[in-house]
Parts: sequence; structure tokens; C-alpha cells
Amino acid sequence: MPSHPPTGSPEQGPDRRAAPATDDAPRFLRLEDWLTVAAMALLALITFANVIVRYFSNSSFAWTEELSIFLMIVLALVGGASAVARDQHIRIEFFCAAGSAARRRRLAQLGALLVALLFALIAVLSVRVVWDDYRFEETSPGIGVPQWWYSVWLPILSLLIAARAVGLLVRRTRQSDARYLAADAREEGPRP
Amino acid sequence: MIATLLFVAFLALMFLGVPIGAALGLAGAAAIALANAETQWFGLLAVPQNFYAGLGKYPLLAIPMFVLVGSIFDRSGVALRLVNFAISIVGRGPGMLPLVAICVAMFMGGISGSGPATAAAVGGVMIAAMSRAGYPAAFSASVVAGAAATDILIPPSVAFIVYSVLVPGASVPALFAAGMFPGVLAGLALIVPAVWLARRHQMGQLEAALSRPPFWRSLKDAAWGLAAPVLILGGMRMGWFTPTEAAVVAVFYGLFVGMVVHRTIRLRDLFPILREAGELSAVILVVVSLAGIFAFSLSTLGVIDPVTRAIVASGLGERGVLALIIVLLLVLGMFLDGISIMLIFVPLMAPIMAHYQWDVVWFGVVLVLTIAIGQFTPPMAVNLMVAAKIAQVRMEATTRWVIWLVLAMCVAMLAVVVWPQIALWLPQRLGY
Amino acid sequence: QAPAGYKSEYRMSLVLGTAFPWGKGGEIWASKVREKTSGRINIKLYPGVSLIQGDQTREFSALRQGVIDMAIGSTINWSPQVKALNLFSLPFLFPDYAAVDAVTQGEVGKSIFQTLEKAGVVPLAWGENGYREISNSKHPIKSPADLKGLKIRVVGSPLFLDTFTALGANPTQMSWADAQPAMASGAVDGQENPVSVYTAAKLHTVAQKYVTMWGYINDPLVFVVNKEVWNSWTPADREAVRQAAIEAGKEEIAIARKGMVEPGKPLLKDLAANGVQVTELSAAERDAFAKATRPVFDKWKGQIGANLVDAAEKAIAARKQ
Ligand code: NA
Ligand code: NA
Repeated sequence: MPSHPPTGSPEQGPDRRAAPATDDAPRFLRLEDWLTVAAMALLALITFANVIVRYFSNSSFAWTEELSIFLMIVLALVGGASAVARDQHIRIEFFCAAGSAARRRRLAQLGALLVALLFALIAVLSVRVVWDDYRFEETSPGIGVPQWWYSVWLPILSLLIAARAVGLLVRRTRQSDARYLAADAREEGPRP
Repeated sequence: MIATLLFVAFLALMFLGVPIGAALGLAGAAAIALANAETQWFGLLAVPQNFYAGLGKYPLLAIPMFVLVGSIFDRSGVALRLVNFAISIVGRGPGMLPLVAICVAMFMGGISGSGPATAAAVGGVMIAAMSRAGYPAAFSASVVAGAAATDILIPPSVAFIVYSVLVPGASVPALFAAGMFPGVLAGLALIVPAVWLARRHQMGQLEAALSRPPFWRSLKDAAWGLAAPVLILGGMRMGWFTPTEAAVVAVFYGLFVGMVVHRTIRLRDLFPILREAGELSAVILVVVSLAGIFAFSLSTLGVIDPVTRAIVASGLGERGVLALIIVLLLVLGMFLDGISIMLIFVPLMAPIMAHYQWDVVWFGVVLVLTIAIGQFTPPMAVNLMVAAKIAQVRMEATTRWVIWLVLAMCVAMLAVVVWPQIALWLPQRLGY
Repeated sequence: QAPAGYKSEYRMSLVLGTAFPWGKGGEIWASKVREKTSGRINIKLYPGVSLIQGDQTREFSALRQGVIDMAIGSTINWSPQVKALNLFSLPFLFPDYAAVDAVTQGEVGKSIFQTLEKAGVVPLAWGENGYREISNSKHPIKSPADLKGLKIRVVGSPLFLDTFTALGANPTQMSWADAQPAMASGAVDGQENPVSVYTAAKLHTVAQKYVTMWGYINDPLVFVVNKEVWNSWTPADREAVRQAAIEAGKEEIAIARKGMVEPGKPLLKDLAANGVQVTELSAAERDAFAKATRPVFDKWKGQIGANLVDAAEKAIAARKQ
């Protein structure tokens, strides 16, 4: 039940993501996109390999559960970062879509700012989690490797999301009202 | 006091258009800091711990995998072949194409786990076909959006996975089985107004002139798609694989069908498919994990118990409370997406469910039914958004048609409320 | 009236609710604390580790960081943070309840409490989740050969995986939520848990018809308090909380062992009444399992600390029967 329409069907007309990049489109999302694709592919392959191995060799890689959960967390954070840059996160637009362009743009700025704030907070707080994992030599419950190998990515990737939100904020700030409206209309799809 | 702030802050942020996950996380963090001013770091270490723990659950892995299944089957060419097969059975005539659209969407629901993916897959084929037959685009979009909403009821379903993570007493297989008949019932309920409206307004006059595909060849073409739900649902039932594994098996099956059999997916399409499904899943997962922060403050502030007591003591009675909840959910469904509704309200409703001893599986089905209705109830309706985009109409233009479909599905929901056995018979029969 | 710096409510984390000995222990501890401190210390229970979204393995970190104020935790769940706790998961270390008591209530128990204190929490008393017994849907297990090729759902921990691999079984790691339907459909053949969990989850209804009372490990519980919270209390209240924990621990252990220590072991009769075939092992049969897992025992002895394991074995050998 994802809340954003999947795009890319040939019948759906031009995909706005495929539209030529303008100065208010996010750039350099290649890192996030490649990591998202890699995480998805690995998750599918690991799980599929588990099914195959279990049914044909009567053994299983019990350790993969921990790895899969880690990959899913990476997926959520890097995909979350690119979704911030593309302004794809679930929000109620109905009440804030009314009003002048300036007001709408200011609300969009507020949203980006608050996302940046939240993930900066999570990044800072999770440094303490990593530090505790490190100094108390915690090991992972499944494989038994140092827990900080996993948790260290939480502050790093949270910071990435915060940075993407700052980028969105900057773009929304630099944009003229007219540009903002044009981009917004493009998002809402074709209108005859 | 702090509890009031928690809700006020969350609602204010949400209405200001702040992403829902961020609204949940910020309101939760603020409440935690205020309530734990004397603890180390204001007790805020609960924020990263709950964020991480909210995500780190193996059953959630089924979400990205079922979203990926939707993306792949959207492009596998299966929908088109199912449509041809369905037309070869029911033939041509007024009201037949809406019927076909609904049946194919229900069938795709047995493969995909999310509504918008089905709306895209079925809409991509049906809206053009219905347009050629003379159906108004707004009507076609409405039918596709409503039909695709049955997808989150008919197993597999991302909504049921989230619900089972929130309600430990409801297992995924039991919920999947329980969603089957209500999903089919909802689909059948949609057929009534869809066909009636088509005949009454004399739509699809050109349809009779179109050719009817030959049965056997259509069956042969559609065979790969027809086998998919058998593999997915049958495999889970036989214990060959867990729900997560079933999703992954469906992924590889869909890739095989799309890349080798129907040749609609090329190697270089894999990157956009994975990226898109990955980002879409991340959007869901981020809300799930940030809702963990909100849930922590909700449970530690001790607001749930007094609210439950107040509701129970309100004199509404069990039926009154249930009716109130359903109306509330339907209204929320107009504005809010289903995952967020569940993440916010299931923790609040769990004690009420426990008080009235409602079956958690049955309640999950009713909840998902209301969410399904919300998926095509304007103004905020994901399925309708997708379908309207494909049909190139404004969403407002669909309102006059979609309202009848909403009513029809509400009737189906009432049936499940009044006769819980519609949902519970199958899981009991299967021993879940 | 509570002194300054006291919270109006303290959060106690538990894995299982009051339908289990574990949760009852929490209930008893909380009510004794309230009574002994005249209501100055008020505790709310959070079963299901709900304070950290049910993630048992993060409970200890959350406790240390003040997200949780107090907990009754399992040695298995906390072993990623405190390696010494793996002692209790060494296969076939404890032949009987007296052996468990000799370790927890003796010098070894004190030494583990010191380790826990170094890890940043205040341990107060011992409880018990119980001996973990194995069940399966295929056949009675009397020897390691009977385990060969069986898919057993285990707690996801390296030591457990080693143990079951050494026995020739096929250990499978999955969440408890996934495990029950997996047992019903035959995707896994068996599981290992205390009998109280087996009974409460009605595992006989998901084809788990054969239970072997092999007692391969015992899972003691530890009553702990967060260090800052502890320091915020007056010395008198600290002593009250400690006494409450010790008393609650004793009562909880008695509840956990009910039905197994009385003559005729009535609990096993209750199991059999559900159509379950219960297998009890002779000393020689149990030794065969111990022998098969001895390499795992020796491998992990080094990681846990040879001195600690030796001390535990010595205490067990010297136990009063
Ligand atoms: Na579905
Ligand atoms: Na809606």
C-alpha cells in the first residue's frame, strides 16, 4: 500500500523524473540510487538463495536474517534520502495546497527544514548508540560480529537524509514562486 | 499536558504539510524530552533506539519485496493477457469491460501486495481499451481505482504485514487467509454499480463492434499470469516458503515471465524497476520506523489507558464504539494514507480491542477494508491519483462516478462487520 | 510524598507478560517495591519489550542509556552485550535445578553481577525463565541421531547455531511471529523453549507433538535497575528495592519450577493430556547429547572466560542434592 504512484508505465506519459534536469531538480542522486538498487537486489537474491538452499540441500544460512535486516535499514535510509531530494515522502497536501504561491512555498520550506532537523537530531543521538556499542564491545545477536559495524551507518545515513533535506530547502528557497508552481503542477500530473 | 502537546504538535505539523514520518518523529521526540527532563540526555536516547528497533524487524522485509513484485508485474505484460482472456470468456457488450477490469484487478491482487501498483498495471491496459470502446475516461479511472483497492485485502498484502507487526496476536498467514473472502466480496460489490452505471448512461456503445479474442489462444497466453497466484498463495499454504520468501519467489517468477516469456522487460529496465520499488519501500519503512518514536511516547505518557477507559465508559456501548471507530477511519481515509492510519491508530485501539475481546484478525480485516476504501475516496486517494493520471483526467472529474463505488464497498465492509465469519472462516478452516 | 529527583513512574521492561512466570515476577517485584517504599517508587510494566519496539536484543543497551529504568532480563537476550551471560547457554552445563542454584546463588553469580555492574547497570537478584526443552512434529527425540536433519527454529545467536549444528540438526533462525505459522505448515519441524512458553502458545496445536525433556540449557533471569535511577534513590529505598527483587526472584523461581519439582512431575501429565508424547532422558541418554556438543562447549568456554566456566563446573560438582 505505498502512497506514491509507481511511475514509468509507458501509458503514463512523460515521467517527471525523466524530465530534463533544471536548476531546481535534485542532482547527484546517483549514490543513493545505486545503493537503493544494490540493497533491493541483494535482499531479493539472499532471500531467494535461502529458499533454494533450504529445499535442495536441507541446510540453511541462518545468519542471513541479520544481514537482511541490516540491508533493509540501509535501504530505508538511502531510499529515504533520495525520496527527500525528490520530495516523495508521504504528506497531507490537501490543507496546505490552498493559498498563495508564496505561502505554499514557505510551507514547503518549513517541511524540508523540519526533516533536516529531525534527522540531524537522530544522527547526533545515534552517535552515542554507536559509541556505546563500541566501548562496551557489543556483538551482533545473530552472527556475533561487533555491533558498531552495523550501527555506525545509522548516524552517517541519517546525516545524508538531513543533507538532502537541506538541499531541498535551498532549492525551495532559491526557486521563484512561479517556478515552484510550475514544478508543483508537473508533480500533480497532466491536466487537459 | 505533555500528551496534549504530543497530539497537537503532530496534527499541526501534519496539516502544515510536513511529511507524516517527520511529524510523528518530531512530536514524539519533543514529548520525550519534556517528559524526561531529569534523565540523561533528556531520555532522548529512546529516539535512535526506537527508530532502529522499529525498522529492524524481519517480517517488515516482506514490504520491499511485495512492492517489488508489484513493480515487476506492472511491466510483465501479464495484465494485458489476463484482460484478453477475461474478454474471451465474458464476451463483448455494454458493461462488460468494467466487469473485466474489476475481475482482472482482483486477480492481480493475488499477485501484488499494494493498491497503486495494481492500479497502474490494470489501468495501463484497461483505461485505453475502455476509451476505445466509448467509456468516459473519468468513469474508467474510477472503476480501476476502486478495483485496485481490493488488492490490499486479497493476499498478499503489504497492509496486513504492517498490521501483524503492530498486533503480535495476528499472524501474517491468518490475516492473509482472512482477507481473501472480504476482498472478493468487495470486488463483487463494485461490479454492481460499475455495470449498472455503464448501462444506465449507455457507455461503451462501441464495444460490441470490437473483436472478441479466441478463448484457447487467450488462455494459453494468460497461463503464466494465471499460475502466479497459485504459486504465491499455494506455496505459502503448503509451507514451501514464508510470506517474505513468497514475495521473493514471485519476484523471480515475474522477472522470468517478463524477460523470457512475454519479453516486455529488458535487462536495462531492471535498474529503474529496482530503484523505484526501493524508494517507494523506503518511504513506507521510514514512516514505520519514525512511528516507533511516536509509539514510545504514546505508551510512556500513559494516555492510552485513560482514553480507553473514557471511551469504554462513554455509554456508547460496544456497537456504538465500533461504529464510531469505523466512521472515524473512513473520514481519516479521505485524507491520510493507510500505513500512517495504522501506525497511529492501532496502538490506540489495541486496548479497546482487548476490552471488547474483538478478534484481532477480524478487526485487522475491517481496518484494512476501510483503508482500501480510503485509497479511492477523494480528496487524497492514491489509487485514484494513479488511475486519473493514466486516464489524463482531473481527479475531481471522477467524483460523480467514484462515490457509487465507495458506497458499494462500504456495504461490503458492513457485511464483514455484521458477519465476522466472512473473514474468519477461511483462517479457521486452514488452522491458523 | 516522593523525595525530589524521583520520577512519578518507573518503566520496567519484560519479555513476557503476566500469563508467564516471567511477567508474574515483574508484577510481584513492582507491588513489593510499592509496598516497601510506601508508594514513593511506582512501577509500570512494559511486557513484550514494548519500550524498544519488541527488539529483545537491544533491551540491555536501552537499559544502560536510561530508555528503560528497570528490567527483568534473560541471560540469552543480554549475551550480545555481556559475554559472560553465555555461560548459561553452554549446552548441558546444568544437570538439575540444584546446579542452577549453586551457580546463580553462589560465587559465580556474584562474579557475574560484578561484570553486569561494569557493563553499566545495577543487578539485584536472580529469577528463572526455565529449562529449555525441545519439541518437534516428526518423532520422539532420544538420541542425537534423532535430531539429524530436523529443521529447528532457534534463538538467533551464534552459540545456539553451533549447538544445533553439532547435533546434526538444521537450525533455522526466524522471529517468533514467523515461527508459529512455520510450524503449522511444516516449514520448520521443531523449536526449543521453556515448557511454560510451549503451553501458553499451545504449540501442540501446531503439530509439535513430541517433547523431549532434555534440559539442555537453563535461562535464568536477572533483576536490574538503571544506574542513574538507582543513584537517584535514597539508601533506604535502594535497600527496599533490592529486598523486593530478592523476594520476588525467589517467588518467581518457585512459579517457574511449579509442576516439575513435585513428585510425579504433574506438569508432564498436563502436557500428555493434550496428546503430547513426552520423552524423559536417562542420565546415559543425556550424556550422549552432552558428548556430541562438547566441542561447542570447549570452543565457547574460551570466549566466555575459562575461569568463570571452571568455577561454575566446580560449584555444580559441589552442589547439595
Ligand atoms: Na494483494
Ligand atoms: Na482517501
